[in-house]
Amino acid sequence: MLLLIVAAAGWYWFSHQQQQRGGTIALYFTKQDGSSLGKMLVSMRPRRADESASEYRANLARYAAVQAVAGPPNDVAAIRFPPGTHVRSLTLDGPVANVDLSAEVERQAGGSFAETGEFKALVFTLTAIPGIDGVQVTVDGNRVSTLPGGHLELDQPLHRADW
Amino acid sequence: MINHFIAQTGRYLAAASLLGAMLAPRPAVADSSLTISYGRQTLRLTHAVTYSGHSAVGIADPAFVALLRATGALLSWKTGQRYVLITTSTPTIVSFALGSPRYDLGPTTVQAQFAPFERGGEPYLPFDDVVRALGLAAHREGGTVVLAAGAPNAPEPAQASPTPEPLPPSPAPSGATMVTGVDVTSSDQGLTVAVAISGDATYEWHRLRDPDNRFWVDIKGATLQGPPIEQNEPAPLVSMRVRQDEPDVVRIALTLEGPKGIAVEPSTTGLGIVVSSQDVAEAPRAGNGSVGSVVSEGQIATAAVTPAPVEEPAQPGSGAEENGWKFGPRSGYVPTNPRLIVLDPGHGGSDRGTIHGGVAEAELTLDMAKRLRDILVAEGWQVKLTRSSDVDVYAPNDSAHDELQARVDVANRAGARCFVSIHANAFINAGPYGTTLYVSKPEDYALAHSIEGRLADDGTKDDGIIKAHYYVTFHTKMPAVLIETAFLSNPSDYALLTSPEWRQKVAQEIADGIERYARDNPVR
Repeated sequence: MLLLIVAAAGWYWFSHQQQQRGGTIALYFTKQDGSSLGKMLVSMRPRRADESASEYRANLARYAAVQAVAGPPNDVAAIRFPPGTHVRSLTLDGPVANVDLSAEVERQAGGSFAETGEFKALVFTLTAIPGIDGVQVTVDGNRVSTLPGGHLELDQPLHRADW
Repeated sequence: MINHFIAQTGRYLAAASLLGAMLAPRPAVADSSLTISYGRQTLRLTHAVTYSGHSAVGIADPAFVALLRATGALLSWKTGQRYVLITTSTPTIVSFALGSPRYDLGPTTVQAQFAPFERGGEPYLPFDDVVRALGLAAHREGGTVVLAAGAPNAPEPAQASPTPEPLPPSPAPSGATMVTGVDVTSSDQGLTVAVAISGDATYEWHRLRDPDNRFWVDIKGATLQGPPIEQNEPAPLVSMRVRQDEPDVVRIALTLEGPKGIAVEPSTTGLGIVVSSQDVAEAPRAGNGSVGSVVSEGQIATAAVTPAPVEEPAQPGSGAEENGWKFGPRSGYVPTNPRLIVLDPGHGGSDRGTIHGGVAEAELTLDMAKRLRDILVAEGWQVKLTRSSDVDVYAPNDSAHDELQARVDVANRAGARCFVSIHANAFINAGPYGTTLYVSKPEDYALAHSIEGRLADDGTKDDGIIKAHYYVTFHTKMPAVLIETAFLSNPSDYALLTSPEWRQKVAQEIADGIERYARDNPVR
């Protein structure tokens, strides 16, 4: 009898694990008109059995940030971060995602066009995740007021309302 | 109660098996050496080990880092993180998890040769899997692994996709579009009906008005694979039917519990229908779109992500500006000098701005600001420039913050009527062109609209008014606008910017806009 219960319990648990599915995250990108957004749905893996809810959320956010910085597939016309820019780390502090970008982000082409489009896409992507409403950007681990020659104020979290 | 007991027992068993797996003897890790050849480079991996008979490479290995760089890939990992993320040049995100023998290649979960592990604080990844994920083909020549670009990078999936959308159980005949499955799963928003579609198709959906809460979507040019489906579904659905409605139309019909919100969007493997648990008072009753490579606005579907271009409804300048302001309107500003305009020529001194064809933005902005100043003064305005020569406003090689704050201070201390910052735009390619006005505060819009109305005929495209959290427009107390007059990186715009006549014309149009703004918005 005990064996039966154990077998049934094992079956129940494993069958439910297999049913667990990941969701999708919305990857936003800024089109080359400089302001309007495109959106793609990117599939996410399901939460792993040994992954806490908060760990999963942080990993999800990090994945989303990496995807947003990478941008859509190359054949989609979009404003993109400067080549080589990557996410060094992402931590969640309440509703704010702290995204540390590599120094390549400072190699902007100049003007407002790219800078605005890049960060708009990053902020809209991360704030599409429930519970995140702001994005604090650092560069190579340091707070910056703006990018060199840039315009966006980066020493405080960016929100959707900023656009 | 029994269910709870069974579930608890299951968890204990799983924990025990996990513990057992942890205590089980692990394959030995042996130092190894690996020489790889890629293009003209021959690299020797110094952080290479053999694990379970396979090669593993440490992510800090200089040769491995060089290989990633050569392929255009980027790696993201920091101490304490479980996931090692690699962005390929496509870009596709490859996600390895320490301790997990499966990794994600875009939307697909793939079985690795072994689970990545940490050694001396450094993650080690299965080398062959990384090579495949990067889209490289490998073969051995003596003791060297020769890598070449252009190989299919997607290994066969080890399991069904982890996405909510089911993968097609079998490939469709070439050229035919098939609805290969319909799956209903719970999600945070309610329920998701995932329609797996192989191939390209258009769709059209309709819903009836409450109290007849039925919804259906027709997948056109498609054939249903398998028998029709008719089944009851949990709330907020009542039931679902899937059938071949016409020879080339598959219909998915849903009966809803009430007037629930519905979102229909193309997904990685077909079409996603998200049924919200919330009732909506008034919802669209029809819509259409496409999946696969037949995507609107010229967007292209790929294996990694499926574009579902969506225009954000509340774009700046659309009349919804007052929604979502971060700190609310600051309508109480009264200029102490209502006849003073502060002009801010962008950049200058140690900051040249963007440079194209030997022309620096800093020079152009100063030239246009001076032209504008002369016009305004002739019209009876007082004008103050944040800089009147090629200098930094704060100090040479100062921080961006100090420099921008110094420009803001000029306007705020003078109690100016308005603030106009003049710039030239640029991009990494020559495509974009046009004039754009940036604003940050609600009261900036009236000024921007007045100027935009005049600038619309300046000879380049009018890209409108964009809201952005820009330092100078946000921190100035008065109405402010930052004008990106044209793109130095675009040949046509470049010709305009380098023309003194055009710069004079733009200066006149901005002056006309300021004049009109002042007339329409008198100081009280």
